[in-house]
Amino acid sequence: MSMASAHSPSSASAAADAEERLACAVLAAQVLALREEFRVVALSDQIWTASETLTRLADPAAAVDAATLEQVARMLETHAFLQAQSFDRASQMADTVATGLRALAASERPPGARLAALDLLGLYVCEEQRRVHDAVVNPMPDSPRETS
Amino acid sequence: MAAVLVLDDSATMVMSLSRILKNAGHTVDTGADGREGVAKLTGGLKPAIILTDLNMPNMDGIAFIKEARRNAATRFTPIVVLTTESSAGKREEARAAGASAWLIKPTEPNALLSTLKQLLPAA
Repeated sequence: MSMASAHSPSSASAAADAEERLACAVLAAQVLALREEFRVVALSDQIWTASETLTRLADPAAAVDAATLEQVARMLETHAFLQAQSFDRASQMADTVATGLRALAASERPPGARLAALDLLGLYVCEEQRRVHDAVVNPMPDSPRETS
Repeated sequence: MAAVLVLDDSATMVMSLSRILKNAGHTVDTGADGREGVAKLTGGLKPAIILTDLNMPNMDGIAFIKEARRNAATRFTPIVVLTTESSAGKREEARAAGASAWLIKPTEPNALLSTLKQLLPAA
């Protein structure tokens, strides 16, 4: 955590408050980014195709061939592998946000030590999180700003 | 085919990777972090290739790679990093530690298998 440094205790406290509010804004943006990460991976078409193929093969009139079954098995394995990786990525991103929130909520901090947005940089696990962080800390000139 | 050591703290990832690798004819040994990986290597495991995550508890992927490179038995064993991390800085850090290849999650099974094939010594 960063130690607030300013000319007087009250201005130091105000600066630390501002830093902590910025850290909160960064964490809020990271949570929003997670919503996108936790979306269902757009591979559900493969599940439907697999289901339809197997349903067709279940018909007594259909000839079950090993090549088709192997193809369906591979399709499902690919889907499972991609899902596992996407879920792992989202889990790691969520862990960093949770760690940031716990640091923000920590009750036993050294006097004057506050969480600053800069402290969050060491937690991130991917470029997407750094991009979200940067968008909050260094907003584009025309982007909407908090007014209160 | 080859003996592969897989290191990842996600049980789902380990299971899914193991399935893909076994179906491709490889044998698989696994660990949940770098420390378990080091224990396997010092215990005598001699994988033909190692596949490791970067962000893991206890010992991360970079620290594991450094340890593996200090071990005479795995000094030249190909090590593939499979990670969520895509920053050039981390990639360079892994390369400097001794990583042989870098794949970003999510990666297609075929991309993973062809990377392993390229790095494995010809049979």
